[in-house]
Amino acid sequence: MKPSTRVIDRLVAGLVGLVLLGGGLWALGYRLGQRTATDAAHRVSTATITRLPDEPWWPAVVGAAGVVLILGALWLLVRHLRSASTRTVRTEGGGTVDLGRVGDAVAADLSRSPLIRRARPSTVVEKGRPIIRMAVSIAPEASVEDLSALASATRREVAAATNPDVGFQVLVNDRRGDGRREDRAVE
Amino acid sequence: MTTESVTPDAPVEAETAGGSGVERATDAATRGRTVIDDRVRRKLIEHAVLTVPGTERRRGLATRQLPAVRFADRDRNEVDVQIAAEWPLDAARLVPSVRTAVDEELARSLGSAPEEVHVHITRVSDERSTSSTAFAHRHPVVDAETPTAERALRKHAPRRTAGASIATVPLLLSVLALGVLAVRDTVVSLGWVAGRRWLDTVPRIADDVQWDWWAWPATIGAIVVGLVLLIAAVKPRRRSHAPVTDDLWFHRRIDADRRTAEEVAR
Repeated sequence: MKPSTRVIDRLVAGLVGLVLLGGGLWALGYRLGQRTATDAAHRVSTATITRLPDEPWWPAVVGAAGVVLILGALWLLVRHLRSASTRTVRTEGGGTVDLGRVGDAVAADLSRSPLIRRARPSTVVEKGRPIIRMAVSIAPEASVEDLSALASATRREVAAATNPDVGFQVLVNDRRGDGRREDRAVE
Repeated sequence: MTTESVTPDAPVEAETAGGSGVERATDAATRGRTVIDDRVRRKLIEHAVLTVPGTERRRGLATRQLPAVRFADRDRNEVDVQIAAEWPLDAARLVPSVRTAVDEELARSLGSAPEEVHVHITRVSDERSTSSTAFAHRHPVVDAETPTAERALRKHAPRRTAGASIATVPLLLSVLALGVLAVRDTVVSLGWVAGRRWLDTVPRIADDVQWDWWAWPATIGAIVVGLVLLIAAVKPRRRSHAPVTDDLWFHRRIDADRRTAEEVAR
């Protein structure tokens, strides 16, 4: 998910939260006789509100609002489905390389190691830096020293295939044999 | 689409032969001209690419055949070459080698090399061609002894999905449903569909709204959900993994007793 999508999500959640909180507090204040709430309630003309559907412009406004709501919601939902992965990066020597393909090759290579049971690649951009993340399940007998050496060697290969600015992280999600379910994938 | 280009050999030969302009023109007209089809140019480039160690040919029904060549301009001075590479690959060596091979092949075969050759590695083989030991020997560790700053580790740490993002999805689905209802009511208003408008009920109930038994749970629920959404909107994302080294991260839920003391300490 792109950082901008997260910002929009926070704005939407904050706005809806404020509306719900304000509405709830207003209703509570009205019920308890709080003066500000009752004054506000009395200023609202219920007759005007109930006559709104009879206005000639009402169907057009409702229709336009519906289209805007549908398009806005679909746009934001599609943004949720699109990842922040980057496709290509510059390599040393002046070429470009498909980062996803490098991730696939690394995953296939790691899967052949006796330390790794399963490897799943993903590419993200964190604070402007492209990173290849490898979510792995490791063998129960795998030691941290062996895993560190494997991760370090793989990082060197990733750096040689791309450029030194591309990050590489091996994320150990579970140890096969623990009977533990693999946790939800990290973005 | 097949296009052609003419080699620049005619003027050069005419100059060396000497003679007047009329003679040169007549000579060139009678001698004909050399036309290089783009397919020939492509084949030469593909051949040059495949001579470089570390590249490979890829054929597939669903995927693009590699190497693939595209000319970026009409004069064929800029060439985009997409290649498949073996893993592990050394881009600092492979890319210049491919560029040099293409330049030399075209210069030798056609008498002119392109001004620019852009190399794109679009496929990487799943099969390892060199042992990791041999690769490590060619690429010694440079910065392994330099400890990465804790700040940098924190900056790029993998994190969980934000609570606001989780909450927004059902909200968006609700908004989508509301939009569909609004459009449906408009269609009813236009007379395209028979029925009555459902959303009209909402403003009409304002006339006889009263505090009923359901108002208490609704009010409390709105306040609680509103507070939860506000907290989700400002709460930072939690880290999902803890660093063991710069490259190795363990999920926080993995049993601590299965890790070494050093891991647990970090």
